[in-house]
Amino acid sequence: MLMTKPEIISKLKDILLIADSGNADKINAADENTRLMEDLGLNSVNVLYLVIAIEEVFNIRFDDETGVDTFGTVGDVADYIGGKL
Amino acid sequence: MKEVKTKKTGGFDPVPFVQGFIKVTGAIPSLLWLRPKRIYASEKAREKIKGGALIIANHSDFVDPVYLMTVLWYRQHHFICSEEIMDSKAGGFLRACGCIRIDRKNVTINTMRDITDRLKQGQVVSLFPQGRISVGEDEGAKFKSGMTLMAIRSGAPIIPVYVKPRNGFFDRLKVVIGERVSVTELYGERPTFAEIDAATRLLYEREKQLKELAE
Repeated sequence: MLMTKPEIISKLKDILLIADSGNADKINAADENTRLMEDLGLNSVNVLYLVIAIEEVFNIRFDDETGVDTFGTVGDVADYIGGKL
Repeated sequence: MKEVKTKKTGGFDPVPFVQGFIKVTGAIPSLLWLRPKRIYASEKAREKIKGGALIIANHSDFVDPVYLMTVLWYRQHHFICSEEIMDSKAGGFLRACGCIRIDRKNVTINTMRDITDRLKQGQVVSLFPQGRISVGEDEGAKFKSGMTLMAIRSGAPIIPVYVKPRNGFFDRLKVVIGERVSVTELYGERPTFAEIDAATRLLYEREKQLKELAE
């Protein structure tokens, strides 16, 4: 299934909104340059949670070495997912 | 990024042999030395640990893993160890003992998969959620929430344990064992970030209650 980058980012936002509804304003305003930790306030466990949720939603498998430092921005995650789809 | 060492997928697995050897040779000396006293938080806490479980404990001494193995002797423990310890000269021995390496600065998805797979397979994974030896004023250091995510992914219960710091070499070992906590029963399989934090705080509070029981 091919998806455009905006579509992937939109789906990523949906995942984040379910997991962190109290942070809805920041998530809705996020774009590809939004930083996961600094701007959205995610911690390392939140990032791992996100990775796990992405695997289930997008039906992809992250590389074993993917760590909490692998992705800096929402765009980095979207690019990675795009490369796996 | 450093390679994450995972369990072997085939061939000889030294872990049961090494842990069995330690148990057989260390049982009598440790029982004579430590004279362990188990205190249970409730009747439910007396139930033997069966199947996959995460055992969490306070960490006040580098020999805490030995204490946990002495008290919960009937299960094979897989301790989560930091990269500093696992990459030291002791790393080979610790791997043979079944310890799991974790890079605390950059936890990888592979480490998470390894731990959750072990729990799903019915193994016991033991860890110190404060992430370091915490004594004195630092004893109340907050728990890290990674264990909660592991429990959610695997469905395994978390069993809080408090090891009372020993005052001297001949001081008797006192350990309080708490009731198991199932995060998935409390918050379901898809908890929010806030619920993960709430579960972590709950476990922290349970640990504090166990400490009060020990004193």
